[in-house]
Amino acid sequence: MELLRVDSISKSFGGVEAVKEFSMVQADAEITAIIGPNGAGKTTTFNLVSGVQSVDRGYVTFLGADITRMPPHRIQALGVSRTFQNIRLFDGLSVLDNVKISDASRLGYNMFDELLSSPRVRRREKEIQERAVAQLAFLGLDRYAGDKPSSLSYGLRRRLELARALMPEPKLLLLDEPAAGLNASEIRELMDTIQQIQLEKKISVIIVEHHMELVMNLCSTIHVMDFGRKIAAGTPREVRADAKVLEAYLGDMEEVC
Amino acid sequence: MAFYTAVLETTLLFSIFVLSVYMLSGLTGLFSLGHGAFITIGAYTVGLGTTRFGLPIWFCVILSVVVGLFAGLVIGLPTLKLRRDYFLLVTFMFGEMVRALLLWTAQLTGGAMGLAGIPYAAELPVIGVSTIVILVFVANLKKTAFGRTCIAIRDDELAAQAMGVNVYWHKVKVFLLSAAIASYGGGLLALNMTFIEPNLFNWLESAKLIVIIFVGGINSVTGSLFTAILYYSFGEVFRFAHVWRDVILGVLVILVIVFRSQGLFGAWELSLTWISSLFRKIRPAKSGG
Repeated sequence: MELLRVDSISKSFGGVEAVKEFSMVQADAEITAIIGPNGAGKTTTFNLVSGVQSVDRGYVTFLGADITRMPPHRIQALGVSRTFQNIRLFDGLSVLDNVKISDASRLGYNMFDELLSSPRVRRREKEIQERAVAQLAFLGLDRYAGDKPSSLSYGLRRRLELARALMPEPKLLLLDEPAAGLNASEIRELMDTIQQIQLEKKISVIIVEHHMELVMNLCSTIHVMDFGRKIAAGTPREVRADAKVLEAYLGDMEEVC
Repeated sequence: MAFYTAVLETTLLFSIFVLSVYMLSGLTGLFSLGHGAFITIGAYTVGLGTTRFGLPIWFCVILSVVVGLFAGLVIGLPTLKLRRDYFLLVTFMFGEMVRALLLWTAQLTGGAMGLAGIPYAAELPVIGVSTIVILVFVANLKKTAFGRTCIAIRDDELAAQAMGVNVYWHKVKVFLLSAAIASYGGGLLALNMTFIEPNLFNWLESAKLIVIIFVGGINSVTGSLFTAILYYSFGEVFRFAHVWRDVILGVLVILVIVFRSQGLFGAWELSLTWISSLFRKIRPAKSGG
């Protein structure tokens, strides 16, 4: 089933066209990747899909609904969740509360319910608590529930971002360079986790990543961007053999192969 | 005794203001230099209502909250979409505007001469209970999903948005709550001082409220309240050192920012569990001795 459709979206900053007529279709429970050299427009594409930046031209539809001009919190509420390339956690909140926060759109009660601490609120808070703890356990972070994110190691903070993105039980997960800065064994763990997310939680995943081993092993389809444009798309095998891709990555040949 | 009662009343009133700003600046990271305007609005609503229109006091207090909320909507709706620095500038101008408006409508408000003859109705019990209720409210709010969301917005607005938080709407709610508490406190202030004037609470006083929160610790209601009580009672108790109050605060601000940027209290909160654990620690020692 078609989940996300990106229809020739464009975005410029001043005179620079960061994304030019980029299109892609993402199906249910598949893992795809967007790769490309630095500055190719991959993160901007994520920002456009998640609503963090506004689309200049083109359309984005999610589950048939037009989300092109929707504010980010509403896109998240529909089931699109994401992580950030440069980890963006809430340092003033505990590890557990960082995970709890991303359920905001589905809270289902307001401040006055909270102040009266009605049974509905207590039930819901208990449920959020349980799910947040489960999410932390899924990523092996339950030991750190009460700590501040700033006290965690880099790899653990990346995992916490993932836990936070999974908390709202999204249908589509956008991972922006999830392997950046991780060591080899952490990357293997990450690959297992992403596979679990797809197979067990039935979540569709789009990965922006430079780490080719991860991309080639996990993804069914790879979209290659260069200078804001999509220059190729296909299975890992097809992309590896594409002349344009090889040209874009000239000098990084080993990385692609 | 009457003197110390008066000091306590003033200190508690100012603690209410600090608590109202705590939600806005401490929890949500929004800085308003015009918060004194809400206090002034509350005070003048009560002052004018009781002296000029002969309305019942309880009604005037409710009215002060309503007027404060309305002013909060008028200022908050258009400005909370702006970047934080612009928000600060707009609230600053709002404060000055309210002051100018009160001077300009002298026939009604008494202008620079002030407004006298407000009934003395807010005595220690009323102020004390109000402070406690507001304290419990703010402290509880911090622990709920509402408070979590505030802190998330303070730490990283963009990430909060991407995590499903309607940042603008949440800011509006916090701003309105804060404005309502400030106006209520302003109403009590008028009923306590019985004389008010347009310079009652200028932008410097508004700025001090924010400074106090930073000295106490933005993550600690206890810290903000402690610092507020210390600062506002100090000047009254040590009258001879009154002028030194701001010097000491100034030095304290520099020391805290350099050596303890998380504020005096960090994220520590006084809680019932902490008190009871303290008693548990003391008791075995006593029975042992």
